[in-house]
Amino acid sequence: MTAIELSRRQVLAGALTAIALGAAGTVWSGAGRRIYSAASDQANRHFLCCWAEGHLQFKVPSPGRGHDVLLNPLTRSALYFARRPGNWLTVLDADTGALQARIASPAGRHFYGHGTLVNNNSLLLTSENDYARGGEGLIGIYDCRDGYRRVGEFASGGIGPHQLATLPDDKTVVVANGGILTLPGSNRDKLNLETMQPNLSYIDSRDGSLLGQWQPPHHQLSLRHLDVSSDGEVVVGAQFEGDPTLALPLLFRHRGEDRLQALTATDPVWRQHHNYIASVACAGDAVIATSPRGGCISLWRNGEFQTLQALNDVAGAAFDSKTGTFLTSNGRGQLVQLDQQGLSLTGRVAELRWDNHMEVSS
Amino acid sequence: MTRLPTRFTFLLAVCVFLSACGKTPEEQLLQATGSQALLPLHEKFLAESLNLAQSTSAFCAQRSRSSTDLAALRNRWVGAMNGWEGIQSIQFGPVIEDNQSWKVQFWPDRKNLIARKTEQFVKGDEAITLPALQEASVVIQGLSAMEYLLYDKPAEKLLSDEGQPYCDHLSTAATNLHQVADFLYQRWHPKGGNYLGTWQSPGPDNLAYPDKNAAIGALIETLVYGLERIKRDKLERPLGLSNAGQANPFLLEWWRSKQSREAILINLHSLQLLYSAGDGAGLEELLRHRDKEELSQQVTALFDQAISATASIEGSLSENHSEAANRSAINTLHQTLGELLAAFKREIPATLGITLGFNANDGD
Repeated sequence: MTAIELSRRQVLAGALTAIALGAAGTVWSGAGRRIYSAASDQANRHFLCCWAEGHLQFKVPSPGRGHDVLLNPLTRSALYFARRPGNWLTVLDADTGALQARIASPAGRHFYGHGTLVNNNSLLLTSENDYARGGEGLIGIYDCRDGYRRVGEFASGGIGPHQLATLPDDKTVVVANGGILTLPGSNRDKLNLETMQPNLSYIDSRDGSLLGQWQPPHHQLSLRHLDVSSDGEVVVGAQFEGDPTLALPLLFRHRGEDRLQALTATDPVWRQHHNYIASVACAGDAVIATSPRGGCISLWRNGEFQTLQALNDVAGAAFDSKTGTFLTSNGRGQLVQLDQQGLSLTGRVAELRWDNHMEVSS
Repeated sequence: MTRLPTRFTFLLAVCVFLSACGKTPEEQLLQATGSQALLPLHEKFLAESLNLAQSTSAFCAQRSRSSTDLAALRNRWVGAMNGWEGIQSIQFGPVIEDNQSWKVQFWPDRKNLIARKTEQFVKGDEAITLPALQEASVVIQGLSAMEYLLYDKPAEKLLSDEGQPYCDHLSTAATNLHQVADFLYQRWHPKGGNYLGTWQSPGPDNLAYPDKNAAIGALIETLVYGLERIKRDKLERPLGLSNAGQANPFLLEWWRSKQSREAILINLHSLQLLYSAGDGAGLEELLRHRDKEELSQQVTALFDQAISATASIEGSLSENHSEAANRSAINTLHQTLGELLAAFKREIPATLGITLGFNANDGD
């Protein structure tokens, strides 16, 4: 296989950006790599977890199924988001797992499972559904230094905002508006597949002004998960809701172009993703995307397909800048590293099923 | 089928018994399902696709081709298609490497791409060679394109002089199909890629199957996938059942050759084989071992019921699906598939403590 050879320059660039953004990677007091993720067990009990050095560091019972997790070095916290249509956000001490704050979404709103930090990690932005008013997408603003108190909101630029991320300027946020209308009472049913209008929106987090908005080439390509490289390139993954026999590109990159740039691969490669990307993780010019439906991890470089690795039910993905390797997680409790040699097992918690997303601190 | 001499049968039984000794029921399941179902099913597809490739090549080499020759070749195609339907549901292992299943079958074809792309390829400037075919879209590579060539407008041309390019495409697709079948078989076989060994040796160091439940889970997922495919894609959508809208027979599998019903029948037989492991101790036996005798028998009875309902459908699904007697058989089949799915999606995983596709079913 083609190796993931991150050059020293690329790793260095990543490290410098991390320093510029604040003390990333220092959410806990010890040394070594920690992996944070929500998980569920066989009995369908849900937990907020931290794994390191071969075993769980903490496993805190959760009010419901979680989705993404975010680390905030400023408050040394791990922020776990409820899965749609959950209304909770739990902030734990990233070191000990002790509860720092528990936030409920306002009445008539629920979380979509993702968030991002701006302004030197002092403000948390979350994707939310204003379902009481028909399902408009909102971005909630929370003050990290004041117990994550809600301090404001602005429009997300579309229906169904999902993952969002902060650009290197620490002010602009990029939001994947999936376009799919769901309401809490309708059992996660997708209510507007024929008319959905997904987009990628850039928003100034200081005043909520929409800076730019881009549509995917097909209106049923629901843009859902994204990551931003250290030089500000956005890579966004889609879930296609249309004719399942079509093989459309499911990954796009964007940095100032007049349209989203599809990553390039042959039809069979796209088909292997079964129209579903769960996570995207960037590092330098390398990107990985996971597809639990296709049971695969694809690796891309400079926008071009490189290799495909098989891993059952894989979803979580993150980059460990210290070791220069990608990490993934799956519903079989496995934590699996992707490097030059291919896949290797980092660890496993047999009784847990890692939920969609993960975060690494090293 | 030849009857084996009694003594040999006895010896075989003793060997099977002895080799089963000392193995847990789960290990026995993996062994038996591998040797009784997975390998033989792939072997059948390989043999039938080889037959088809050889027959096609002979057919196309003929100076003149008669309608009798064409009928014989169509039978070969049906044989290979049946071989494929036997493994169509198996969604783990080598089939996911480089998307083998799309190379074999492109379906459903909502936009009639098969006809369009096949005609383009045949009439194009590029020479019709195996590399050219493999470089082209999967739409024209396998059984689906061959069905178009053998049963649609090109069929007549195959019998005339102007039909040579169509025959070249047919022959190249048959070779390609055989290559896919060979790839799958070799990758499964213990003397080749030995994916069977990977599946049969779960453990902490096995990335694909970290424990026995993960390996058995792959089998159950295959059963769920196969049953859902029949229920939703082969019945509901084309026939407009369960609020799936108006019937659209062009969404049926193999509507050109009118083999839709036969394909379902073969699917069901092979899914039952994957469940029972034939004479071996498969999933059916494991449930008994877990004191779920009733569930185990119920699933067997449901398979029998689904098979007999399918067999009782008269004529072809595309033309005769709305006749009263067929309607009733189709409804029985549809309902039985729902019950089988409930067993494989809920009761059986719960009994065995297995989670099916946690993130794969998430939808966020």
